Amino acid sequence: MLILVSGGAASGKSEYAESLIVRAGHEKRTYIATMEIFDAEGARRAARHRTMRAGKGFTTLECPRGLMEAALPAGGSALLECMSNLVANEMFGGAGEQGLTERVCLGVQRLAAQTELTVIVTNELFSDGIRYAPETERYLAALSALNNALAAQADAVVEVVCGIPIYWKGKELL
Amino acid sequence: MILVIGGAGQGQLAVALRNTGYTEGHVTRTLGADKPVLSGLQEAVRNALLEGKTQEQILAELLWHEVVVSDEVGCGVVPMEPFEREWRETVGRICCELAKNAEHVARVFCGIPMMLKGECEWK
Repeated sequence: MLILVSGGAASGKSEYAESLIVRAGHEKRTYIATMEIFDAEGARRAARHRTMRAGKGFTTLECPRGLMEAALPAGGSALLECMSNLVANEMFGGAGEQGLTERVCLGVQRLAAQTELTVIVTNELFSDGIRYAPETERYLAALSALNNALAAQADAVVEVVCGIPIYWKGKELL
Repeated sequence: MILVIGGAGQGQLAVALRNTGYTEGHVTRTLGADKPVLSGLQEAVRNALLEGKTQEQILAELLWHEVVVSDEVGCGVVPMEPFEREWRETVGRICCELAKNAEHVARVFCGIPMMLKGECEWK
């Protein structure tokens, strides 16, 4: 089972994504962390997420790039957070733009094949109507293309608004 | 409380007034004013942050309003400016907290409300 969770900044998407994993109840839970920490703000963000996850039974796997190589325990669940960091890392500090969508999609397929439930957190970055520098525009194009490709593969696609889930595809897990 | 959100200029306030029976005279746009409806939460949060208030302090000043209206501001590229990031983050977190406390949450698109929380017939 593959679930794609999206939403704007501070929309409550991480908390909701975690709740899906907790509700599914698999014993082995891997949190795939993609953010690289460069400054105090990044450290605060990571700390906030760690606090939110505490006591929910996750083992953390750092994976800022190269998702295809991620090895997970069989029969468990995985929460990847988040696609927007992974794509930026791949694009600007990894294997680059060539074949990025295919590479990350394949990585997600491998995750899904290793787990009973994979939840991918991504970001809605596409509604401010601003034109950016070419590099940023290419990043936005890559992330949106990937979001679309993942949504097509996913069993459920959910947008989180003020902490409230809105299902665009599939149904909420009970 | 009722929380009403939507993109900029989607008619959130008009929808909120139409469905609650309040009028413009019941509306404030600044924190701490004794009016049932607070409109433009995103700007009120910006001003409060500039005055040095914390997210918790801002939230405490909001919870007693009957209706809070906000723009959704989190669906764009992460801003370069640290204060803009803090502002966007704070608006989002406050909206999540208000939504938890709210009886109803309505999202407005082109002047049309969609009820995200609670059973309620809004036009």
